[in-house]
Amino acid sequence: MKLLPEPRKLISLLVSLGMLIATITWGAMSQLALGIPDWVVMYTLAGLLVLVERFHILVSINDRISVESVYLVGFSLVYPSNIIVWAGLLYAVVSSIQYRSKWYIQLFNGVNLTLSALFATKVFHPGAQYSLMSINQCVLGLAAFAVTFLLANFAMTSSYITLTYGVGAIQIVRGLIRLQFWVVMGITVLIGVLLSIVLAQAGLSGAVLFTFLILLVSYSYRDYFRMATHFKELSIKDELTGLFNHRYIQSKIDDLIATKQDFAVMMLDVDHFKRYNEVWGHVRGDEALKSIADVLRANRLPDEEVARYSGEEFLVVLPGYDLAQANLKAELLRRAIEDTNFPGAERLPGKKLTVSIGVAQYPMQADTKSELLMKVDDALYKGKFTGRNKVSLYTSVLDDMQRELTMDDANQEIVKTIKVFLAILNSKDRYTYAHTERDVIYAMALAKRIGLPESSIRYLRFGAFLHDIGKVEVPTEVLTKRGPLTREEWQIMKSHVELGENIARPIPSLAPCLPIIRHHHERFDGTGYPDGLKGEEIPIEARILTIADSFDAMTTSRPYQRKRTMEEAFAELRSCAGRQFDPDLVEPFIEVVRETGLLSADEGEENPA
Amino acid sequence: MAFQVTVVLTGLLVGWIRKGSVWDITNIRIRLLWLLPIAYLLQHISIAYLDGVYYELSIVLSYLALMVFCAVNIRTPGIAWGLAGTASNFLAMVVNGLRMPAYVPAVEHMAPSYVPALMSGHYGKSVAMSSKTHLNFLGDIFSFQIHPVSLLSIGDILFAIGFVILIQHAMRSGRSANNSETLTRTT
Repeated sequence: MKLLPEPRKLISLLVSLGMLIATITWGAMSQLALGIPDWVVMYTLAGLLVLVERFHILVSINDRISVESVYLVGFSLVYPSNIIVWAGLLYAVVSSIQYRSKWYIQLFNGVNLTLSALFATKVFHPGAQYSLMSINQCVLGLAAFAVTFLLANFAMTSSYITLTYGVGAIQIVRGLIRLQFWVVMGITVLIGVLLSIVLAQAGLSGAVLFTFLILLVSYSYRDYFRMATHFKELSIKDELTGLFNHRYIQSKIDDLIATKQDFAVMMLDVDHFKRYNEVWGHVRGDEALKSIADVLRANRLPDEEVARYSGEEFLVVLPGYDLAQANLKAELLRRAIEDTNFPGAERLPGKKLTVSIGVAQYPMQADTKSELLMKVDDALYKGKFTGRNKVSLYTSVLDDMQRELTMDDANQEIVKTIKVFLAILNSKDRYTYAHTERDVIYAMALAKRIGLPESSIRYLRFGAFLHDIGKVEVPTEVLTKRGPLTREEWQIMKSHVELGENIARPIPSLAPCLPIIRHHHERFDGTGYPDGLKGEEIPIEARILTIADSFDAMTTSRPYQRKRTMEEAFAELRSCAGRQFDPDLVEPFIEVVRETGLLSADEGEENPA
Repeated sequence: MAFQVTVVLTGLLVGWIRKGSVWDITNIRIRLLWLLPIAYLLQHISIAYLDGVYYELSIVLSYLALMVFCAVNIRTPGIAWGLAGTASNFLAMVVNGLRMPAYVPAVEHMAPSYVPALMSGHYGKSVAMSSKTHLNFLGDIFSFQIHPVSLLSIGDILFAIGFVILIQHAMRSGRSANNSETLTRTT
């Protein structure tokens, strides 16, 4: 404990003590001395107050009936004020002793309630004739009493809060004043009036009986509210990990978007978790999820929300973060999990349990929740694909395109249209979309390796991104057909290169990309489509893309073909060099894929999930 | 007697509501427990058989024993209340020549036959409360209305509160012990 309390505490303490001393002085000067029967009442009231102070009755999560008010109201309507003063002060002192660190606040509460009751008796006191019979004659008086009690209490509480916490705290006080608040206060005062009737009729034994009732009600309500909070917890918590659940985090994102706050989201996916479950069983898998949840919880700052989104995916919402900050945070989490020892992780590729993390930001990268979640998902899968155990920010080739190429408004509009096409393509065939992203990565790597000029690389990137855009016009049945295509279907499928070229043509700045889109299905030996170009006639960018495209098709599983391992795919590339592919590009491509680990070595063993 | 029984029953009832068990009462660790029967015995003997200096000596010893017991166990829940109660009673007696002032109307209400003895000198350890007695508000002023009725001071009530707290605490003492046991077993 510090020897000198901080100023706020000191003010609060001085105000409480000042009020206590002032009330004691006033009481000693003006109040009659207590006779022995008065002492009995005084002890009883003080004792009951100290007792029930521990037993508030919850009415809702925020509102409670303060039972001390009930007793002060009840007793002050029946007994003279000299009893109330000393009982109230005795209660204030004794109960504050039990509070230890925040004793001065309880002291204030006690003195405050006592003074409120005394003020109220100044306004109205029914006197000795008070009984069940006379109650209808003093309804107005009772109302005045109640209002005075509430207002005095409220005024003193607000002044106290303002004195200790400054004027800003008034906002908090105002937030508390709702209809419900006044209803609860009303209930409190009315129960107090009831108690006064019991006291007038049955004396102190009536008060004891009444106390039993209050204690039992408080006890049973407490259980009821514990249950209610328990159910509320259940509805927003994930049972296994104790993190928030899917439902909660969705509504949290809704809230943030509704209040126009900036925030970043990151989605974490446990790498090779399917494998972990297969090797060790789901019980151990659950344990691992719990440990990961613990790491996430340990690294959580206030305001950040962590939820289990689905099976082995976690979603973290970071209010107020921009992309760079979120990236740092994600990197921190990734490393924390990488550095945690999970039993059994040695059977996983890399001998470690790791996560891949995708990051996206609102409102910079998305306007709606679904768009944001789609983008963070895309970012995550890009990371999954390019080696796992890494953080990937959401980047869109389209955004770069808009930024890097000079475009007038009309062209911007077309890019937006292309965006729509891509979204349609994504919904038609998710494979094609993810495949496009990977093609861009492969093609860029190869282009850099063979030293293509910077400007060509840029257009290759955009071309690669748009190369399958024509598929948007290919019917979904053809696009996702499992069996072999018929002649007509094949014709339609082939037409996507020309369709794609037509879609991109209206944008003058994309002109250099057109040949890439048109010729990416040409073969080196001249048997490709649409123009049957041969060898060097095919633009170099298109030749690069052909290799990237075919390699990705080989190494991912499709409904009609078995997925090949990396080595099998390399063998296939080599055997087709000169026929389908430019022989000068095959070896550099194999090298660059091997070296940069674009495709992790275990890729062949498992689905990239 | 009725008061003591009520206090014990209240303690048991509270303990039961708070999910304690009677069997766990023995788990509570209390030091110098033997002081309690000695204090009780001394008090009983002094009131019933002794007079003069022996009465005074014995009653003071009895209160001191009780207060020493409370002081060494002060950290046990409820004992602090007991100490406050004992001290309050002792104080009331010390300032009144080691007699407890009793509120005469209450005695009249409880047992009218005692009043003459009380008025003429003392009855047991009690003297009649008057303007000549001191700290009257610490004297026997409560009448406990359950039969057989008794007169109580605020000190008695504080002691009783402490006793209720102690009983219910003792009844719940087994739960924490059991819990820690299972915890150590699973880890």
